[in-house]
Amino acid sequence: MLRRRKSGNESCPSQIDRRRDLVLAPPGSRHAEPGAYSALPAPPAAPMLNRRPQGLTTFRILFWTCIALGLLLLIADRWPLRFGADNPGARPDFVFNDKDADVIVVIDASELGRRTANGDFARAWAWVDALEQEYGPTAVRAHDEIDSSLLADTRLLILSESAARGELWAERISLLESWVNGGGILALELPTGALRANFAADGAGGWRSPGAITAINGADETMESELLAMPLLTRYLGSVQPLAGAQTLMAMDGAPVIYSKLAGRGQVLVFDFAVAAQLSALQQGLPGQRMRVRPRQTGEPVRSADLAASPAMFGSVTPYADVLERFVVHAALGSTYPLVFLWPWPEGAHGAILSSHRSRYVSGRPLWMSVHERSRDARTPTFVAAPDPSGDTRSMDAEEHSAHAALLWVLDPESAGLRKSWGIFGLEPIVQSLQLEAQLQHMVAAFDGLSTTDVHGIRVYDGRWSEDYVGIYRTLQALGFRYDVTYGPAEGTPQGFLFGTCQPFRPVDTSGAPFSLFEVPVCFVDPSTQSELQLLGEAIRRATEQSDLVHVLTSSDSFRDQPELEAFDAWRDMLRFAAQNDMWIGGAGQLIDFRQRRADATFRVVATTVEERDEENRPRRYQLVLEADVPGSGFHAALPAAVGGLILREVNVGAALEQEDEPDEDEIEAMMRTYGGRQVRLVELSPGFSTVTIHYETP
Amino acid sequence: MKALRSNRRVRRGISIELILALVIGLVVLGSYVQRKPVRLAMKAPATEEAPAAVGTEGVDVGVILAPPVRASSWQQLNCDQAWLNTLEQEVGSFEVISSESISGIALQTKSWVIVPRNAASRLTPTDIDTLRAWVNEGGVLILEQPEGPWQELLGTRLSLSRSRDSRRITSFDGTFARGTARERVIAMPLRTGIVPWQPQNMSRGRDYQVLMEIDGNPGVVALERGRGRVLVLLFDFGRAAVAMQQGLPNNDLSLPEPESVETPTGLTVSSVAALNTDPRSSEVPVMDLLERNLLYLADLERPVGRLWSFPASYRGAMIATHSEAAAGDVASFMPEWEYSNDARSTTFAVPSTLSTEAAIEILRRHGDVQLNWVPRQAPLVPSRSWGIGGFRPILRPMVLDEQLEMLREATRPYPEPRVTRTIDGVWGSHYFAPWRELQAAGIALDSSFGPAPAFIAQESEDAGYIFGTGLPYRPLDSSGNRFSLWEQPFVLSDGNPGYQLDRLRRLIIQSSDVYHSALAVDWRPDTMSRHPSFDAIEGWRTAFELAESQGLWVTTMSDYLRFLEYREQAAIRSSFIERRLLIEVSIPEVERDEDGAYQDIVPSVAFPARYRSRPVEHVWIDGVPQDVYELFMTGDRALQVVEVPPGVHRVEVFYGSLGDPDVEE
Repeated sequence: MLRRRKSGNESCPSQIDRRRDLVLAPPGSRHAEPGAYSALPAPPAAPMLNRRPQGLTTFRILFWTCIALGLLLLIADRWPLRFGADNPGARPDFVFNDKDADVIVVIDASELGRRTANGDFARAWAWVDALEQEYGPTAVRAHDEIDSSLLADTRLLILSESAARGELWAERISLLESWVNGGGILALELPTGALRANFAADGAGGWRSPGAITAINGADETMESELLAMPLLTRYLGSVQPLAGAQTLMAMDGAPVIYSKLAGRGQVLVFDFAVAAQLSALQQGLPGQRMRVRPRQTGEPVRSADLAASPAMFGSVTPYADVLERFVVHAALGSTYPLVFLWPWPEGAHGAILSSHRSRYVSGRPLWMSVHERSRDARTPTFVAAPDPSGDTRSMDAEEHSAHAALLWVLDPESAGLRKSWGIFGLEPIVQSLQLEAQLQHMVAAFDGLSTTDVHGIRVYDGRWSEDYVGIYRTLQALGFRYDVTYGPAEGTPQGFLFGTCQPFRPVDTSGAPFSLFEVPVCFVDPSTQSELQLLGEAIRRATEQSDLVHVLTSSDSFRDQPELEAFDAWRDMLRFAAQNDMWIGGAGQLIDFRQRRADATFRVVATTVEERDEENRPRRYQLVLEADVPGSGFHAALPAAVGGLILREVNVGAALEQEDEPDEDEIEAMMRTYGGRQVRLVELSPGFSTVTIHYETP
Repeated sequence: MKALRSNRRVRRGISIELILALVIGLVVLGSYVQRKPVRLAMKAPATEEAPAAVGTEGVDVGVILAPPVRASSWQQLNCDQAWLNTLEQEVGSFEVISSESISGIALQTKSWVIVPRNAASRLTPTDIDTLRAWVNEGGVLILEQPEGPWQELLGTRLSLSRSRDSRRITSFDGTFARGTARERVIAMPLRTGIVPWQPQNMSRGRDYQVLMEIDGNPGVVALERGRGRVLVLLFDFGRAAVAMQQGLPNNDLSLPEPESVETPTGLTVSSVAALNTDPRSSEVPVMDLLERNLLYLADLERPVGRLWSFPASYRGAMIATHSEAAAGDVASFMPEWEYSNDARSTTFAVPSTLSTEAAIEILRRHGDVQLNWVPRQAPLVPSRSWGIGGFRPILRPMVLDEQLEMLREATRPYPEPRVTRTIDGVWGSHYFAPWRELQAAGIALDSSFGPAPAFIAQESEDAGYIFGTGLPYRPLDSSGNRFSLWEQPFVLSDGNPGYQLDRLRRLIIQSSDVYHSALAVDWRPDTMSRHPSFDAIEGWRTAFELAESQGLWVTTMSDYLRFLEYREQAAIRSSFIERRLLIEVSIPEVERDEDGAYQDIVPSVAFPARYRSRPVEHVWIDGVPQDVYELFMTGDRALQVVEVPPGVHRVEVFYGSLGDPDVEE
């Protein structure tokens, strides 16, 4: 450069001469005095300027322009210009349902949006989830809909915390009392005012944070020990005096928190702790302050495992939320009168295994594990990520993706190369990240004949989650997904029931309204180490014994290059074990389908007759007439074998009579299950309408 | 001066830009050449034609062959030597008799003499007289579509011009196979030419017997002549065998190139020529059954001893193989698992993608590494490169012998690779060219024939014995001579949708119970990334145990080749007098292991289990009686097998109720 500048200076004389020629006035002009300018030395030009007029050829302009453009392209390729759209979001609206059901949950929607003192929100929907899961068809009503005509067809009425405020019922207390005396079962969650005064203990002990559950009544040993170990995430309301004549079913720190009292031919149950909040916190997890989620490990991105409500949930094989739901529904609400319910698993299975798969790659038949499980009549999903748009992928056969393809959503598409780019010569200076909708479209395009409307399920890649507690759900709600399976263990963390369940539940927005999609948490992700396999084995054994569910996610692409044979064996053995033990194997979408059909069925007790009572007003002989209208085969009514001293004697299904005292032992044995801490007997329901008459009596 | 200065400046200015442009140009060119290197023309591959047929002198089964004639079309191809494959598979040894030097002396020691179709048309009346005299003395003469001066011997004249296409076997009364094997052979498809049998003045039952029918017409007839018998095959067995085992080409001897097969020009896949692809019959080695049952017809008159197709009392074999197919060192996970589970396999390696360390590790763990041959037209063909460091812009694809040499270098000091399989099931589209390359490279065994992977042959769902055989055979050259190398088709590839766990299990069980075949199965290390399935992993890991439990020999390609070569060195000869079969067998010495036990390559001796409905009553080996009920019987209940150690032995077999041979003598 120095030499070039010097060279420029050297060229000055000639340039000055030329400039001088240019500035000299033409002869005859008023400046044409000889020597008028000649005496003025030309201003010293900058060396580059000096060069430009002569060296600025078209070639040079083009050459350096090309060089500049090339450099610009290279720089832009290294740091490309990004643009992209945000993912959409939608908040759910609270919708009541007026199902024809004899179980009603009352929710006051106007209360749901109100934040509690600690910034939390109302989670009353957990009652609905619990009852739909553990019982079957459940109606959700506003408090002002409850009147005598509605109560006449209701067997079980649950007033959630939002609707158990005394002021809402002050004028209808007598209505509730007479309904209970007539045989209704009333459940009150943290009642206040007139409801507390009439049905519950005084509540004068104030709010307390429980240390542990200290007593359980009405559950078997397994359930009791599991409940005693359950982490508590709620407060309870203490009373100075217990309710006279009440039986305590659960106590925290020695204080009764669930108690029951017989009233006339009916029963009142009081829950003096926020059952729904406890359930929802276990299932949906707990955010930090201002509904933000923070990673447990600094420097790591947020993952769904960071939402787990308690460290005790990591490595746990106890589905605490399911256990509590079963206790509340079967041991508490069904403590005195037999609560007949619709069996939660298809075909009367002894529990279930949900199998899901994921594949980062579209190429190479990613759905093979799901296709294999089809041989067991299972329709399991494989969550497949969108292909890299620049890659060459092959289409799958329609047969292959039928009912299996679901989306593996890459939350950070840039890092995975999921982007569209524009450029030339292999340089990509302009890029656009593929957001959820685009990822869905790209994934669908890789499968022959698949459309976006066929894809119902989604999982976020690597179990990632948004910092916003419900941000992901709002996006999924906006795009109409039906279920998500992102909740679950992260790589390197202990596996198990991190969210107290593997069963589908509806997450709730911070407004308290449920999203329309289901979350189906995963309990085990690619179990392959000895400790993980041992834990999985324990969970499956427990699920068989307790008729429960285990949800396992396997990466179908972990077998691509050097197959992890231990993981393969775990998957194969799990399927074999499930088949040998009459467990149902299926996919999340398949189970949700079944549960929704079950929730939409008609299943109600139309008549109860207490033919004889003991001195404590407990029934000695009891008869129920059940009407069921189920949409298809595979549904079973579950009848508790013994409740409150009553034992199941006789079951009439339609015209066929089954006598308990002259049973076909093998058949009855085959239909007995352990559920909710007690033995239940299954009775198969034919598709369509059927009537079941059930007789209980004391031994 | 001004002008000079000005020019100099311009030159300086341009020179900077020129230098820059030059540098950029060179960088771009270098990058381009690095991406698309210059490919030099390939060295012409060495080829070698098939040698003349040789046999073992002095054995009791002879085949008369005419001098070879080069064919330029499928119809002209001389398929007579297909009979040598049949005898090699089923009997073990044979003697080749030139059609130009037939003599009574040469025939004296023979139990059976086979005159294939081409040779039959060249024999003179004198030759036929010699044969007739030999038959009259008790020989069994097998004639394949005899055209020419045979009328006096046969009582009728056959005309090949009246040949028509056949469809399937409809009855096989003559065979003494029983059970499933019999059922399968009766319904087997047989697409070849058949000539009508319409003798004047001869009646069925009195003058001739029909032992087999094709499409309801006579397929094999038996004529009693003196103390011997003439079996006339009215169908073109040799051509049917070649078409089935070696594949059916177009008439111009090219292989079909269907659109559904995605291969570079000049290549196709071996399975395009396969005939037994119907799923209903592909689980049956139809050609093996046909060959076996045709020879049983000769046993009806005069039984002969055979060398069993497997060592000791193994009922068949399973050869697990892994085509590395450029997957790289990742392929070693399969031999590693096998090593830890007492299983063995052969890895076919592309020498440029499987590292020396990985190859040595496989061999160190008692595995076997052989060549995954990449034909020169294939895109992944290994190449020699020239350049500096990592910049290697000049390439030259390697031919077969260079690839073999490269693998040989990589696997020193272990035994040299002598077995090949082409990558991804590809095969040259000329019927004979790949064989000639393999012959020139000194390959002893090839296992390229079998189902192609799905990513190449998209519509293929091939599985089983698509080439009709589960035993090795020597392919034919255009001259009609057989190449020196064996082809052992593989029956399953987990890269093909036809591969299923149930099918694999059936093939293993039926190989043991019914067919006695060698099952070569290809479990590819890249299947789980290309065409993953439950059956691929599960089948691979359970097959070894299942095969062993079924009495199959679980072996590698190199050990199987050692057995084949060893069996070839053995010789067997038998004579039959009355109801006594005397078998003389010579089995060469074999290496023993550290415990002094023979290695698993000693062939056993097999003999017909019945003679005219009389069962075997006594068996002596070198005068030592054997427990007949302890001998293993084949699945078709037609043969019994007895183990013999290396050395020269006499096996005496008595049918029916005969007395003690010592007393008799």
